[in-house]
Amino acid sequence: MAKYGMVIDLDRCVGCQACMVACKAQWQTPEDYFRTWVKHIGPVQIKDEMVFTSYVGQCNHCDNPPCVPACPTQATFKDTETGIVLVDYDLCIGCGYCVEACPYGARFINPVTKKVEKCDFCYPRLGEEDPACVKTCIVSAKVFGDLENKDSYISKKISEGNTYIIATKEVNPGPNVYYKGRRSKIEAIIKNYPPEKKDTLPAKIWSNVLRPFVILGAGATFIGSLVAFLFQINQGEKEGEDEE
Amino acid sequence: MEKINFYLIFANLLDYPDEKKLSLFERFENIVGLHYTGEIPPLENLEIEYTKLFVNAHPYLPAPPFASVYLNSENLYDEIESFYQSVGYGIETREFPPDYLIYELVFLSNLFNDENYKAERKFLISHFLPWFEKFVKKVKENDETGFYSFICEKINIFLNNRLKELKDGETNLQKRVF
Amino acid sequence: MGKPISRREFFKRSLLGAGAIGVTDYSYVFKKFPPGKAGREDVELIPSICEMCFWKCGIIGKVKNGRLLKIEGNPRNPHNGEKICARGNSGIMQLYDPDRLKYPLLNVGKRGEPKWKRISWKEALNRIAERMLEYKKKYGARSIANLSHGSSSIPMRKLLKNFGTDRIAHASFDQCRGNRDVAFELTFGMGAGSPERVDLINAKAILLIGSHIGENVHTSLVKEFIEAVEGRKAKLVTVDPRFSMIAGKSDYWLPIKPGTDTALILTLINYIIQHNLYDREFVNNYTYGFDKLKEEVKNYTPEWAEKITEIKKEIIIEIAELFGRSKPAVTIFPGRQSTWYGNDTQRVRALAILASILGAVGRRGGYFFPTKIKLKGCPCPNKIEGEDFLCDTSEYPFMETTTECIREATLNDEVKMWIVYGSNIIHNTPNPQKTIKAINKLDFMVVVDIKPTEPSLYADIVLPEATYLERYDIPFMVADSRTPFIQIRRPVVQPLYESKDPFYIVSELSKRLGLKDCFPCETMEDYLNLALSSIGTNLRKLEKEGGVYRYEGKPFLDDFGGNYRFPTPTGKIELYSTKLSLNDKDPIPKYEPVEDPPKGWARLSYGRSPVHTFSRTENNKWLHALNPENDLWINEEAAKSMGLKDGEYVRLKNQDGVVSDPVKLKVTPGIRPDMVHTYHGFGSQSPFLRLAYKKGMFENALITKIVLDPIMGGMAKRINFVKIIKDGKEIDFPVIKQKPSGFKKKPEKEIKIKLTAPLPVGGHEEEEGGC
Repeated sequence: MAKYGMVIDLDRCVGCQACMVACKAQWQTPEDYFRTWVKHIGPVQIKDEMVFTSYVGQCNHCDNPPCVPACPTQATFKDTETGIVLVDYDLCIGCGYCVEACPYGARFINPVTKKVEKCDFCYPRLGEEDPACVKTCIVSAKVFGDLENKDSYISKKISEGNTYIIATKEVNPGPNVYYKGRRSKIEAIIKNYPPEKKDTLPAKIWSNVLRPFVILGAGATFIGSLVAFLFQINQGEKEGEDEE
Repeated sequence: MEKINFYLIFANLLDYPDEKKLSLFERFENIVGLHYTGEIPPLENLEIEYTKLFVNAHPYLPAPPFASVYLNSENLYDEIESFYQSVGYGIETREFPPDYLIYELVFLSNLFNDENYKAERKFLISHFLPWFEKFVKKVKENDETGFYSFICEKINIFLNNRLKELKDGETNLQKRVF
Repeated sequence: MGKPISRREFFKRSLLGAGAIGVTDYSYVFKKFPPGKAGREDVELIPSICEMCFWKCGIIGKVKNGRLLKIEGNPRNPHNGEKICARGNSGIMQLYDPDRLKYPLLNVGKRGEPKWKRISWKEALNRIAERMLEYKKKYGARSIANLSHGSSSIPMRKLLKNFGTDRIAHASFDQCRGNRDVAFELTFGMGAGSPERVDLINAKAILLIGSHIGENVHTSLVKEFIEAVEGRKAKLVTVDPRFSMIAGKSDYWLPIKPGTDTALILTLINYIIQHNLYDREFVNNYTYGFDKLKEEVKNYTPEWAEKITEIKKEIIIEIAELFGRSKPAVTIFPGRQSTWYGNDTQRVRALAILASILGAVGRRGGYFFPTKIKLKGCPCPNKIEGEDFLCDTSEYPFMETTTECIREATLNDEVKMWIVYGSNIIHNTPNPQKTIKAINKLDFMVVVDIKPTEPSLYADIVLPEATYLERYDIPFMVADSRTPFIQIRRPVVQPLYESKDPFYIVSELSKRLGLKDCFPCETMEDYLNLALSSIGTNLRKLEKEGGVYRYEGKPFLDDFGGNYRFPTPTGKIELYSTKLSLNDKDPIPKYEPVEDPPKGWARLSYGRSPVHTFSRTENNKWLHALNPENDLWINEEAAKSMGLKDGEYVRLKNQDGVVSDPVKLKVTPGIRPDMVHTYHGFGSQSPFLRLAYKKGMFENALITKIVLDPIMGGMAKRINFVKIIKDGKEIDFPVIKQKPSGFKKKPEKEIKIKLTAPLPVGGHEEEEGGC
C-alpha cells in the first residue's frame, strides 16, 4: 500500500512554468486549460518582508477529498493502492459537481471531451518515470514519491522541516502536496489563493449549481470569514533537535 | 465513361492551382450541376488569391485549410489519425499536418473507392463537415475573385446532399460515377 | 517536399480515361493497411537540439509514424539533461503553427502591404541571385547587407563574406551582449561565453547586477544557479532596481539607482583593495596594472557611493567583506543583455576587474576557461573587397558591423539590398521607425524566416525556413563548459510544406552566384560527416550514441599546471587595458553619470518573460496561453499619487512623442518610483501572427533615443523616458525622494525534527557534469 504525494520547494522555484507545459504536452489539454498551475504572486509586502513567489499547484490528492462524495456516479474515487484521486472516464458524466466541490479549483470540465480533468500524478506513467512536471522542472523544485515509505526521498524532504500544506482552520481536506520555503511565501499563497470552503454534500452542491448566484454570494462570505492559518505539519515536534 | 471520384476532383481544385488542375473545373460543374456564371480569372490571379486565402496573407490568413484552426481540440491530430487508421489508412507523407483539407478529401476519396460508406458517412458527420462549413464561410467572406467561394460553397452543398444520400440507406447506394 | 509518387494498384481504377490525365491522384498521401494496423505503432526517440531560444539544450523528440508527439530533455546532454523549460516543451506548437511560412513568396503588391504569390524555390533563388549579381556589378558587393540572428544564419553569413560583403550584423552583438564580450576580451583575451563560463556550483558568493536569472530562463544556468543558491547556500547579492524573482531568493537585494552600477562596482574594488581583501598572490602572478588601478579607484568610497547609488554604505561594506571572505570562490556574473546606458563596456570591464582582484578567474567558484577543438568545415575564404569599413572605426574602435551601421548606410544610398535572416529587425531594434525608413529606400529585400514576422511584410521575396525540428544545422561545439561536448541538431520530422534547411538555401544560391567551391558538399549530412571525421566519428555513430560527443575540458588554472598565459597583449589579465590606452579610451573604468529622467518622467526598463524568447514565441499557442501580454511594473507609491490602479490599461508616451499601444499596469512595491519596467517581445505589429498581434506593448517603439557605446558601438536602450497617458490625459510621475537602502534577508528559524537517516543534499551532487 502506497500513498503518493509531492513536495514543492518554493525557494527553488523560479516560476518558469515549464511544469505546466510539460503537463499540457503530456495530456493534451485544450488551449487555455491546464491540469497544473503556476500563479505568480507579488512582489508584495508580507509583514516586513517583500515577497515575489509562485503558487505552484495541482490536485492535492487529499486524504478526505471533497470531490469524491460530490460525484453522483462514483466516477471520482480515491485509489486504495496509491492514494491517488482518479477519475473513471467511463462513469464520468461531466456534471461538474466535483469541480464545484474542490477547495483548490484543481478540476475543470474539458470542453472537448465534456468530462472532468485534473492532475492524476501522471498515473499511467507511475512506476516507469516521474510525472511530466517533476521530470522537466529545471530547478528540481518538485519531488514526487511515496509518503508511506519513510526512506523515500520525499519523506526525507518533508522531515527536513519548514514544510507546510495549503490549508486553513476551516478548510483542511488533508492535502498530500506539501510546500517548502520561506514562511512569507506560504503566507502570500494563503492570502491570495485561500482554499475555499465548499459544502461537500452532493444535494447541496446540486442546488448550488442550479442557482449560480447563490454560489457567488456564499463564496464571498466564506472568503471574508477566512483566517489565514498555516498548518505546520511538524508543529507537534517543534521541540525537536535544532541542528544548526 | 471515365471513372474518377468527385472527392478527388474537389481535392485537385482546392489545391494550389495550375492549368492541369483547373482543367477539371468543367467536370466539377457537371458534378455539382451548376455553371459558374462569373469569369474564370487568369491563372496568376488565382495563384495570388489562393496564396492569400490559404497560404500566407496580409493582414491575416483568412482561411487556413486545416481542421484544427476551426475545431477546439488539442487531440485533433491523434483523433484524425486514429480514424484514418481504424479503416486501414496510414499517412505516408508529412508534408502537411494530418488535418490538412486536401488530405481529408483524399481520405474520403479512398473511402469512396473502398465503398466504405459507413466510414465515409461517419467522417463527414463527425469531423469533416463541421469544420468545412466554417471554412467555407471564411472563404466566402474573403475571396475577391469569387472563384473559390463558388467551388467551396458548391462542395459544401454537394457534400451535405451526399450525406443525406448516405443516410437514406447504405445498401442501396451505387457508386457514383461522373 | 517532393515525395516520390508511387501510384498504387488499388487506386488506379479510379483514374482511367483520357480526361483524368494530369490530375493529381494524391496516391502518395495514404498507405493502405489491414484495418487497425496502419502505420508504425512504436514511438521513436530522436535526439536533437532545441532552438526555442539559443541556449542549445539537448532534446529528445518522441515521434510516432512521422509525427512529433512530445519533446523532452535529452538525459545525455551534460548541461540540461532531462530538463527543458516551458518554451522547449512548446516547440511542437511552433512546428504545427498554421501561421507558419509555407512556400517561397513573391510580393506582387506594395511594401508593407504585400500581395503574395507562391513561387517555386527555383524561381525565388534565381531572382535573388540575379539581383545580387546585378548589384555587385553596379555598386559593388558591399551594397548587399545581411541582418541575421541564430545558428541557422551562419551558412548565409559565410556565403556573403565570400561573395564580398562585410555588411553583416547580428542583433546579439550591438543590442545584447557585444559590450560584455568586448569588455572580457580586453581584460582576459576572451569573451564571457555562451553559456557564460561561471562555476556557480562551487561559488560561496555570487553577484548579479541587472540579471534576472529565472525570469530569463537558460535552463542549465538556472538549474545550476538554484542548486548553488538553495542547495549549497551560496550567498547571493542581487543588484536590481526591481525586485525580481531572483531578488526574492537573495541574501542581499540592492535597489540601485539606474545608471549608477559602475559607481558601486568601482567602490567595491576600492574597498577590497584598501582593506587588503584581494587575492595578493593571484594579482601578482596573473594581472597587469594593479598599482594604476589602485590609484585610479581610490576616491570611490562607500560614503561617496551611497550618495550616487542610493545604496547604504553599510551594505556596500558588508558585501565587499563578504566577497573578500569568500574569495576566490566568487562568481561575478558577467550579465547577458547589457547595452543599457551608453557606457556599458566600461561597466562590464569593472565587473571583470572585480572578479580578477578576488582571484576568481580560472578558479573554482569563479570564471573558468573554454576548451575548443578543431573541426573541419567550410573551406571558403572570406573575400572582402576593399579596405574601407562601414562605420567610423576611429570613433568606435571595437565595433563590429551593427544594425545601426547598416541602417545609416542604407539611408545614405550605399546599400541596395538586405537579406534578413531569422531576425525580426523591426521588433528587436530600437527606433523601428528608422528601420522602416531604411527599408523603404532599398531596391530589394529578402526575408528568410519560419513565420511571417514584421520584416516579411516589407520583403520582395520571402523564403520559408525549416524549423529546428526539421533540419540539420552546423555542429555545435559547447566549448564554454567544464565538460565540453559537441552536439548535432538533426531533423526530428521531415520538413512541413516546402520549408528548407539553411544549407539547401545557401548551397543552391552559391551555385547561382558561381561560388560553388564555398560549399563543396552536396548535402548537410555530407557536410556534417566531414566535420565529425575530425573527431573520429560520423553522423550515424553520433546519433546512435545519443547525439552528444564529449571531450576533456581544461577549465581551471590547475589544468595548466598553474602556468597560464592569458591571450592579451601582456599575457596577463589586463586590469589596465593596453588596447584601450592605445585607442585613447580610459584604460581603467571611471564612473560617468548618465542622464536622470527629467521631472515628471520615468525611465523605461525592459527584461524578459520566462516563457518567451524575444519576439519569437509570442504566437506560440501554449506560450501565449501562459503569458499573452506584457504588463508594466510601476511603483505602488507613484501609482497611488498618480491615481493609477493595478490591472488598468494605460498608454506610454516617450520623450520624442511616440505613444505606445495600451499596456496593463502591475502596481507593486517591488520597483523604484523613478522607473517603469516591462517584458520585451510583445505587441507584435505583424497582423499575420493571429495570437501575438497587438497583444501588449511594443517597447522598442518607445526607444527612439539611442546612444552608442563609445568603445564598441552597442545601442544603449535604457536611456528613454516615459509618461503615462490615461484616458487621453498625460500624467506626470511624482518626485519621490529615495533614502539610501539595501535589504538583507533575515534568518528564519529553522524548525527541524530529529532524523534517523542522514539528509540528502538535494539529489543533484551525483550528476556528472553538474551543470
